Amino acid sequence: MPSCLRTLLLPLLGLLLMPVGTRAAVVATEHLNVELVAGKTALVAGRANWLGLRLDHEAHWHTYWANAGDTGLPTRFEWTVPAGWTAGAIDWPAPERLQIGELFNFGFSGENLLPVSVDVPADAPIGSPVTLQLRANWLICKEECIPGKAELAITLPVAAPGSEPGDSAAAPALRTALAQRPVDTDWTAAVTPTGDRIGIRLRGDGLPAVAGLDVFALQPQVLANAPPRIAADSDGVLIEAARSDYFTTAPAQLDLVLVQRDAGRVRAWRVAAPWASDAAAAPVASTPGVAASTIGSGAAGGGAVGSVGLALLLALFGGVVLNLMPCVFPVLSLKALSLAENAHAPAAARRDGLAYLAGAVAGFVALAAILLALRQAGQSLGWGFQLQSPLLVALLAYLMVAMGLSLSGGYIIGARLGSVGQSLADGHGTRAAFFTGLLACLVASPCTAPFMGPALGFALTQSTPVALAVFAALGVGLALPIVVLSFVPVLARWLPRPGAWMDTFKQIMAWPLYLTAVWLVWVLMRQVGADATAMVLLGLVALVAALLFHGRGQLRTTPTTRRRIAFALLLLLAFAPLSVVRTLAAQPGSSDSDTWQAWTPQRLDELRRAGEPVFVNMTAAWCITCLANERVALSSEGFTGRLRRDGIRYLKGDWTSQDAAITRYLAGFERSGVPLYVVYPRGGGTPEVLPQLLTPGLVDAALARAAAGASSPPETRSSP
Amino acid sequence: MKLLSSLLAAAVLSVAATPLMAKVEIGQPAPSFSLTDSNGKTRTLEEFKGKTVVLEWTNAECPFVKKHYGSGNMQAQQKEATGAGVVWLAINSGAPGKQGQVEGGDANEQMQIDRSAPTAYLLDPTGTTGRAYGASTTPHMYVIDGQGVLRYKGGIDSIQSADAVDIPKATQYVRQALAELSAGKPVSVPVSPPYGCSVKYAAQ
Repeated sequence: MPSCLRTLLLPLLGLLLMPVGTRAAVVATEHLNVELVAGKTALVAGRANWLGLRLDHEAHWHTYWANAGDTGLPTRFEWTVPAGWTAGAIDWPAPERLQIGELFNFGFSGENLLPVSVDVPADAPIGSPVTLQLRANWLICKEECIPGKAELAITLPVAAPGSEPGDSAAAPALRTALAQRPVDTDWTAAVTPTGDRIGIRLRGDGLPAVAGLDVFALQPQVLANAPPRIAADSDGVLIEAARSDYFTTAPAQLDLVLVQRDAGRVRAWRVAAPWASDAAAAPVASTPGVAASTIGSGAAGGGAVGSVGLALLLALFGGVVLNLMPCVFPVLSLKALSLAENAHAPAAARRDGLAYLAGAVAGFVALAAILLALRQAGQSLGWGFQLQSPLLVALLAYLMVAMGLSLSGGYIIGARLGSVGQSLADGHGTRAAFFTGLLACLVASPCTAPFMGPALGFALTQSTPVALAVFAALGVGLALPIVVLSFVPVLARWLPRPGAWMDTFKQIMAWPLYLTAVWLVWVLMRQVGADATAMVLLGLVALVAALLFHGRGQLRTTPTTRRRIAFALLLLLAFAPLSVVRTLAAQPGSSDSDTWQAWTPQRLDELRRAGEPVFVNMTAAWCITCLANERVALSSEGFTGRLRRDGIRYLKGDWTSQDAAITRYLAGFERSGVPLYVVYPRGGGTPEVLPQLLTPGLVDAALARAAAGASSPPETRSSP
Repeated sequence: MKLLSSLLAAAVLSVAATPLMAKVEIGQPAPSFSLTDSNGKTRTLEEFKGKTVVLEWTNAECPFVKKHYGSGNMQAQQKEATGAGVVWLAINSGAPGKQGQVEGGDANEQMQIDRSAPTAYLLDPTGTTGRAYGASTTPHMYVIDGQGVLRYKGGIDSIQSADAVDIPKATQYVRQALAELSAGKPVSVPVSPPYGCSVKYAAQ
């Protein structure tokens, strides 16, 4: 019967016509069945194709993840594929934490699949079957362990580029495994090693709930393998794990995998936790102090500062130097002016000098106390952070304009008016002098970062009393010239006598303040973009209007209620835009240029691993030294030519707004401020830290050394 | 408010769990012990004062131990060390009934089969000594100097595998540490990750 024959033949025909087998045989080994599978019935040329090794564990037996934990070994693959084809590494699905006695291992049990992506070249011969071979090695354990291995093969036809072959029988298992791979996130992770415990603070949108959450480190021997503590805090997740007993050196980056198991559903995320600070996590075995003294050298401020005494001296000197800085100069001039007015009364001058000293010291100590409190709270902030807040930058710009306007004669600052900004720096008497000192320290902060980086970095890694002492020394240094001036009558006598010139001088002194305001607005623009800056500029116009209006009112004998209300409304108008600064702030774009790329710890790590020479420049828009260096030494033809010729990679980190990764990188070099220039030599080796004031010759010499692969000064370099 | 809650969370987290396994630190005195050897004799760490002591956690049925005994690597190092006046103690912390756990007689038999030559084979069926050292794998190695101070802890060598072909390529950390100690030099690699099977401790 033909119909009978057909029913018999059709399935047979079907079998014959089926593509050359998408499955290889299951290989049975001790306690584990393995099978090499593909997701589709054919391999598609010109794209990546998913394959995988199915693992079917006997009950209670397990194999291991990339980091095996306390014992065990990760499963390893060796592929044999046709020339031009590439098989990737195992794209690990989420592991389980397996407890054996009091030991913890990371791995897989039950039915699992380890996916691998295989790139098939576009010119692979279409239609012909291709055999891929895999040699797999693993360790399978219950409590006892057995090493296992298998030679596996799969033969599949190659389909034309763009074609969509059907799913294989293994497709669901492969899909499950792929769905269990950790997804990349842009969450941030701040690592804080304290003693033998490691704290990790996760921040970001869409963090999972902590219920059923577990965390694994890809790098072995960093975190201990017992379950860490995981807790939710107000805006993120806190993880605290013991440090591994076999911890030796911190990885440049800790790769964390978060896994959440919820009623059979497994979800996983990957978070990169940069670990820049070597000093913070001294290796178990190293002698105390070694880790702290090996980094940083040759900076303008003396590099790594070893002793408390030296740090105090440097801070004092740095404070004195600050007086010459453009951001302090206007305030200093104001004070000199008021001293000149007091020159006929030495006692008052001395009192003012001491009050100024107290103000400067109080200001620095208060800032240090805030900084230390924040440091304690685990915030990764660095010196100069005041200028990383757009709101504070805008307020400082307002203050500069308001003070400038007063100097220009737009209005008179009187103690009567009692408004904060106005009673600060001008006027006479002890209180005014104290606040001038306070103000000097506030506006000095952008200048302290470049000059006092090493000393401040040192202070921040020290105990609280030492840190406070260093900051206090900085304040003393800042106030020193004024104190000297007020105590030594000879010098005071050199000050010009009060007279009509003072009004002119006062008016001239307004201009540095306006220029400072321009600079601050420019910094603001770099931070929050043009829209928010325009709002702030509008606010400044309203402020000028308010103050001039107020100035005109001062000429009358009694201000009317109406005028007072109008003044208040104008001030309100002036400050209203500040409320929208944050919401209008544009996302900072880290655009790469031809010569440089944006710094990220990952990028630096990749380049270092590839052994390429790297020049790292940590900068900020509000850092004048940084900008001067870029102008003088980092934008010349010679510099870019050297980079091109020697294949040196240039990474630039922008610290204009707060950036935790950069803060940690700076801390790794015992710095808490920018600029920082680091040159990594070719083929690895100790990085060289350049001084904070660059010259073209100095940069060129350092780059030449790095390109030659020598990290040490020229004399130890072997001649070719 | 945010600051406060962060501080609170940190405080909550800092109440650390007490680990089941103790830990030993390089440069610190090694925990003392008193164990019965395969011949029924009580041995203590104190009796070897003045001599360098090597501790080797072992389990003859573990593939990683087999790697180093099957190739002769472990026995060679034992002979080298004892020949130079070093005390070498093999310790089995397996609980009764677990794979690889031995009684005194079996231990002597195993040593004959392996032609191994430690100074003594110590039995730690309760796991007290293993836990005091934080021994997690077999093999897991420790070197203690004549003053009783721990100088090395970790793996027998630098390549984590169960395959004997890797031995010639690997740095033998214990051999290196013993050579450096006898030369009066600091141990250049005092810590390495231990690798192997898990020590089959008795439930606690």
